[in-house]
Amino acid sequence: MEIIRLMPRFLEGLQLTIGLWAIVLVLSIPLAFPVAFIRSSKNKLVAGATKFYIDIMRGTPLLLQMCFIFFGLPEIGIVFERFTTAVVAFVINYTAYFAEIFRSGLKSIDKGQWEAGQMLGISKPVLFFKVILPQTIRTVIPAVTNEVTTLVKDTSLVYILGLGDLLRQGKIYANSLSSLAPFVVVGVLYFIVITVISKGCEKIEKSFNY
Amino acid sequence: MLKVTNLYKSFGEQTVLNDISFELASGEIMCLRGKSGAGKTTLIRCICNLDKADSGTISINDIESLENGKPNKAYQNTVGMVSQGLDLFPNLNVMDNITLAPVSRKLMTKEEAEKNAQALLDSLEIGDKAKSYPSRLSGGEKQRVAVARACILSPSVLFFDEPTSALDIKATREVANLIEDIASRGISVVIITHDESFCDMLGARQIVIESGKIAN
Repeated sequence: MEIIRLMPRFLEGLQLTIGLWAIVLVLSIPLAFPVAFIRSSKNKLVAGATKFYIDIMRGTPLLLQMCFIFFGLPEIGIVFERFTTAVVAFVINYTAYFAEIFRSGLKSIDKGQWEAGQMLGISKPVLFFKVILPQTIRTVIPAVTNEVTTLVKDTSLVYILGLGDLLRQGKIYANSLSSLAPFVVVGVLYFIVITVISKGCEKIEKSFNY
Repeated sequence: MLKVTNLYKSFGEQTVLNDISFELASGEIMCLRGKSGAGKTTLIRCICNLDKADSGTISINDIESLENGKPNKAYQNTVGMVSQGLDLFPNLNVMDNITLAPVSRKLMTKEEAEKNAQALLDSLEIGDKAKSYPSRLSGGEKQRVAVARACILSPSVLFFDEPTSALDIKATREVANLIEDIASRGISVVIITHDESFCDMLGARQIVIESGKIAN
């Protein structure tokens, strides 16, 4: 009964989890495309700088990156509020991962597709949006699905900033009730959310059935 | 018509095209024969502006392939290619594959392009495939779509890269008929092939390339 009484608290935590997840996706996926292009640029300086950024993001823990932004940046006068810190850290981190997925997707498109477009006199932007991008999206959906579901679970790292996400709510009530039941509720909620997201991604993948 | 003069092309130390010159008349069919690695594909890639020759000139109806060292758009409109891989756009259906270029380049309205495309498909006997995706087509049907896609832009010269590789005799005969049909529309056709019997079947002029040079 106690668990049912606490349900609104869990749902508050879930709201923060899903809100952060959605904001990060909406920002990082569109950002990742230009990053993937710059990373593939023939200009060695910009390509190298982008590779360095991606290496740092992949080579250090997200938790550490968040601590750096929240506790380190104020030293040089840059202060973010807690939730903004989480958004900034996640967006910078996930953009790097998505960019690498998109880069591999773009590379997997046969160069004959670009050449066919060139022979037909189709402009590069038209060819990209009508031909290359749809094929790239289809190729990267499974890898993107992985990242998108991992992101749901990664949002639990915001406990370090004192934000009340789903897992933190579970931990608080597990302590106060001296019971594992809140963790079970949290686990079930995560599982439901991730299952719904996975099904959605599967549907998108099937819609590219040509 | 098509005029290639003193064409040279090297990749590093290796000379791939060595002083190639030839001419092609309107509506003529010509076969470029030679072993793998002889330079056949490089030659038509240079003619189609997909690769840049080191020196020499290429023109069609006196329009040069390059203008100030860059591909000349007026020239580009006169060449079409059906590559070995065909390179149809797999995410677009047959109709959209054919109409994307003329519509996006504003050469035709969508209605005009679809009408022309349907007429082309009908003449190639695949009129019922307009809404199909390339993955649902047979090899021969895909090739016809690639031909229709190139022909809707009314090229003066159409290049085929190994159109009969991996085809049986019957299918090869069909490709020969298709090419004769294209030539009868006044389009010159250049075919890259290593298949001598296919060239004989077409009764076409043959140029044999060996180590980047014309050998006959």
